[in-house]
Amino acid sequence: MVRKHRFVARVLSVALMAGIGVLQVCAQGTVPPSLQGSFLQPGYITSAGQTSDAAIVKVLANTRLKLGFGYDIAAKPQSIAGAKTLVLVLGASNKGLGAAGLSLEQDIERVKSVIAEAQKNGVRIISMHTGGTARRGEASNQVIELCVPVSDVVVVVEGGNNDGFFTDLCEKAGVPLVEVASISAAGNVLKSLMAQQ
Amino acid sequence: MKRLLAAWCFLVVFSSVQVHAQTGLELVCSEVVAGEGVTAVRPLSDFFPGLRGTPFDTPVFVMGDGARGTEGAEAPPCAAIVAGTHANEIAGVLASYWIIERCRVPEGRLVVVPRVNASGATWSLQDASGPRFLELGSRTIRYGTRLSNPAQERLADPGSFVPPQASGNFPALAGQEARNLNRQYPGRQDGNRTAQTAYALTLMLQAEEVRIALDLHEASMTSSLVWSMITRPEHLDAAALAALDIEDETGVSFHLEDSRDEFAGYSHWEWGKLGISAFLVETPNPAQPTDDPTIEQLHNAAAPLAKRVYVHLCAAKALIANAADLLQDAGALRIEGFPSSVEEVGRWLEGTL
Ligand SMILES: [Zn+2]
Repeated sequence: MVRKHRFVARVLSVALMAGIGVLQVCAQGTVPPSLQGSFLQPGYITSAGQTSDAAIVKVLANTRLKLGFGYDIAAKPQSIAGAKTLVLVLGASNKGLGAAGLSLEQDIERVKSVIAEAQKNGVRIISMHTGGTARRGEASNQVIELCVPVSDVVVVVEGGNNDGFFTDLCEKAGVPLVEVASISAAGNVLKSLMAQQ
Repeated sequence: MKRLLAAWCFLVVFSSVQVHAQTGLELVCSEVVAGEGVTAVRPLSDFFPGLRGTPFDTPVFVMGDGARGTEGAEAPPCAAIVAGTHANEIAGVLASYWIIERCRVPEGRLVVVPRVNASGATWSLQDASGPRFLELGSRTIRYGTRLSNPAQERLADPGSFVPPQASGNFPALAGQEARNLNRQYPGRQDGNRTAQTAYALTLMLQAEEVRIALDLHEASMTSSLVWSMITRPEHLDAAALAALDIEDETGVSFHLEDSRDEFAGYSHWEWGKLGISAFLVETPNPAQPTDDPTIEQLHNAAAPLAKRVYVHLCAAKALIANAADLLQDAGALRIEGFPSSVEEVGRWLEGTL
């Protein structure tokens, strides 16, 4: 899937070399053109698995990119009231779970309830994985397997998909996967996914 | 100024040497020479005299003579950089040596403790009677171990160990962890030397009115702690912003962990209780956990020393800048002289800069 999008982007880039104005957007990376600008504000960020990487995505989205998303690492269904885009930051952290006073099973139930609320209200879902190999393992894989199939797009920072786990899941579920080299590149993808205000 | 400092360092060392064969002051001064940014060198025993003359006494390098935090609403804060908590985690020690030798602090104050557990640098896992030495260009540094030297302790290890302010249900650790400085904060006046060192450092942080403090570490290549920063939940934003800055500068993507009460005795958790924005930074060390002496450090293909030192320095710069930015009542702390590339650090390590 990744390869396909890269191919499409490359073909489009070449086709647009002639000087059509949207070259910048397409050349930016591997975001499928059909998804660009398709996610609506307001957005809301929470974790799936209590990874502190959610805090990085929050400052990336809000401090750096000024997207003004809502944020609660342990959001509940009512937290996302009014939101039109839900960003799930994937990764299980024992320390994070402990800090929130949640077991992995309890957090999975929480995430399921937030996803259900999103689906009920037509909120589209962006899943992001920024923690690399440190946020891969049995517990992290459980939340990844829960979230990827219900996502509209998945963004993974290099390293997190070394074993092709995301590629396989996304292919099976027919969900576009965008792989990027860095967290700040993931921010650029997030920005290009969001509709301009 | 440089000569004055050298003389001062010598006097501090000499007065201690008279009491004991070798203190940490002598050890550190044999590895690093204070640059022009250093305004004073104080033994840690100034803050707790119980350490005086022991191998645990260690120098505190004060940089900048900026106003203390209480002198004005916008006064720049004081930050602390602590390294050598675990004496085998050498990249943090060398990063602090770079700062001592090459940085200046035109606004605010910085205190640097490059080998906070100097005793850990006096022995090695391979040879309990002495440290391993690592040749780096014109510099030789000690490659020590994770724990204090048992021969230098004033108390035998307990059967099991619980950090000083751990909660009631805290699971007891192995007795030797009493010599792990990063389980002993905020320290104990009447504890073993390791606990007294933690106590002295806590008193120093308070006396110097430190608002931001970093503890530089390394972890084995396969540890999930590699390229991570750990801090209390209230300081995660500063760490997250720093992670983005570090990635921009070095290409390394850090992940974050938040500290909680299971981290009783750890620097970031206990210093945080003092109101300090405290962060622990981890880079990978290919010789850990066995301190394998056959592992090449300087030109290691997987984790070259220059890259680890460079990332520590970029992390220090980014964490201090972002944490200071988030302090509501303080001005900017300005530190100059950080390296601009990993190659620059490589040349410094090889003695060709
Ligand atoms: Zn350590």
